[in-house]
Amino acid sequence: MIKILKIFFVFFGALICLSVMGQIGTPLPPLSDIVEVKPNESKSDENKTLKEEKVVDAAPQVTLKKNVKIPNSIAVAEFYIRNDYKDFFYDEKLNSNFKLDGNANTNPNVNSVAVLNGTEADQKPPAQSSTATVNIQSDVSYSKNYGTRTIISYKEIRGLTAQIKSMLIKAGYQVIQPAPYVHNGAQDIDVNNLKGRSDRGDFYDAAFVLQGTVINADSRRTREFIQGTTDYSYKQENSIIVEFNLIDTETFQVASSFTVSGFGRDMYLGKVNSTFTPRTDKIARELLSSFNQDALKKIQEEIPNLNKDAGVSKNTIEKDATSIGDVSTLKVYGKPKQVDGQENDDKKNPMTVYKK
Amino acid sequence: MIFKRINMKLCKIFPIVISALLISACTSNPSIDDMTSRMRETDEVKVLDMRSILVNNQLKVDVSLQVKSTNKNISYRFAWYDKNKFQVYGAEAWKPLTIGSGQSGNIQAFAPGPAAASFKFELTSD
Amino acid sequence: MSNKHFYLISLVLFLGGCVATTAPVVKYGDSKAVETVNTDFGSTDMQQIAETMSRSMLESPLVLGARQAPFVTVADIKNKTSDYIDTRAISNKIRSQLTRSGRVKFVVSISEMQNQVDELKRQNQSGLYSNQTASNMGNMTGSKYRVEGSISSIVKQNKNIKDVFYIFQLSLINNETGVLEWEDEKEIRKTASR
Repeated sequence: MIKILKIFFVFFGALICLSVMGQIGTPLPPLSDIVEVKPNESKSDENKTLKEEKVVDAAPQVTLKKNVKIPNSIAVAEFYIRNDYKDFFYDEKLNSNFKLDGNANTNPNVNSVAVLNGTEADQKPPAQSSTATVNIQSDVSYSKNYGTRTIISYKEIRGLTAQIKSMLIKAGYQVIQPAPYVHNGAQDIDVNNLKGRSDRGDFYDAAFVLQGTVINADSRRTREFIQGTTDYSYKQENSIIVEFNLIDTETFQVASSFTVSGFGRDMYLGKVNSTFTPRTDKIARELLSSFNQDALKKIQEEIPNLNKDAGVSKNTIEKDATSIGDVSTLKVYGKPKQVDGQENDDKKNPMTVYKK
Repeated sequence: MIFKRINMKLCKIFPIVISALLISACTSNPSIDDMTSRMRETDEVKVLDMRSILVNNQLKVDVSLQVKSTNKNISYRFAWYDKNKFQVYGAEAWKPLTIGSGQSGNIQAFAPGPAAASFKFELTSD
Repeated sequence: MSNKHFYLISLVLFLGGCVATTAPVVKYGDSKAVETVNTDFGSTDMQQIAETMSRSMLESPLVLGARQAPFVTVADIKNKTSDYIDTRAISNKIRSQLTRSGRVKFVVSISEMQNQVDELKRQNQSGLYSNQTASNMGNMTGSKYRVEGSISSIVKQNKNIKDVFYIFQLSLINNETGVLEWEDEKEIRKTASR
């Protein structure tokens, strides 16, 4: 009897152990899906914790919710310049394969009978058979391919969004850095395909995307003669024009749109045969500062400031009570002077006629 | 009693009347002779009219002259003074008077700058 | 023989005396006085022209009514007379009178560009000047108007009279629109009679 009980307990314990191990091994739900665990409402904290534990043990109810966008958040995407250019290619190939297989087999059939007695006459020479096979394979192919192929290259322009991001932060928005874009072949999502990138999760649930598109990035170097001197002015000028669109990531409506341009220049005065090495850092600095000034102006006009105690707008000037002045000292002298003074002079301006 | 009252009134009114008269006297314009400075012998030229006006804070002068004879070469110029009677804008060049004998004509001058508050018309001969 | 000597000595003395008595007497005169040496272009003409033109330009509605002094540059004044006239001197005179009035501001003209360029080169490209104190290239003020003009003459002469008539014309042109904002002329007649 006791033995049976022991066996039963061992068997039961093993079952429990297996079941527990089985539960530990089950995979956790994926992090990307938001899992909502509904705790049972209770009055006291202790009860809550106890009940939560219970809920966790008993396999929680998992419901997937839609991605919630972070309110007042803007993801500032980087700028890419896409260059499509057609290339003419011409391939000429000559393939020739030559194979030579040769088999030479010799099969000696030795039928030697060992003569124990050793008479020469009885010994026969061993019979030999040999076969030789040769395989020759050769093929020649000639191919000529020509045509045009389109090469798409993406060039990233960095460094222009720093000031814009800081302006947006000061205006009270949450600025989100999107995932970097890496183009993998022709089947990949295009950098301007916002919906595709948003679905892929590049923008991390930002409510808006501030997308910049480079309209024109130009660099030119000139040499001009200066009138009245014997010198020439050598110039290196860089300019960039970017179009910004503020797009809602849910409805893909354009909330606002503006264009910002920047200009940087380095100049050198010299004679006809001077060598000019432009200072690229100076050009970049000037370009950035002019770009930022323009961006500041445009953003202040287009994107509303979230802060309640935002600064006074340009058109309104707060007047102190003291700046109005002491009214008792106010003096009004005649009418203000006219622009064309000569016609109205006789009536308004003092004229003196000298007596004899 | 009445005398006293009249006296009191007069005492109050009298200085006011006198000051008003004085102020009016001060604001009357100087004569042409005051504004003209003749050097050497310039009796052949007679100034008929002289007037000045402020055009956008700058002085403009118009002088009407009559020339009796042209025995002597008469030249003229204007001297400009600021409100403190200091000469401003330096001395002008002497300009020969080109009005013919027995004729009358006008000379107009515009101040060289806004600092000129008054002027003097200068005449000289060879 | 003694007579000849006497005549020779007296001749020498006389010539010496002549040389001694015709030594030049130098005196300072009034630079503003009327000059009537001959009918060629003279100092009084230059002074008269400069004064009349500058006062007339000051009186024009453009300068008189401007809220801010306009920026003007001086272009060439053409000499269409047969005399040698330094027109640059006339334009400099006009320019200095207008600048003193404070109602017009002049900027460097083409003839003064070499000095301007040399100075900018020295400050920016030699590497000797500090960035804060150096005048940066690319910040010159452009003029909105330019002054240009011409002087021409008509000379008529007979046995007894030579009559020279000068006419000086000056105009103020808007650089951007090409509109003639102001124009004036001064006529001078000089006669020399025997």
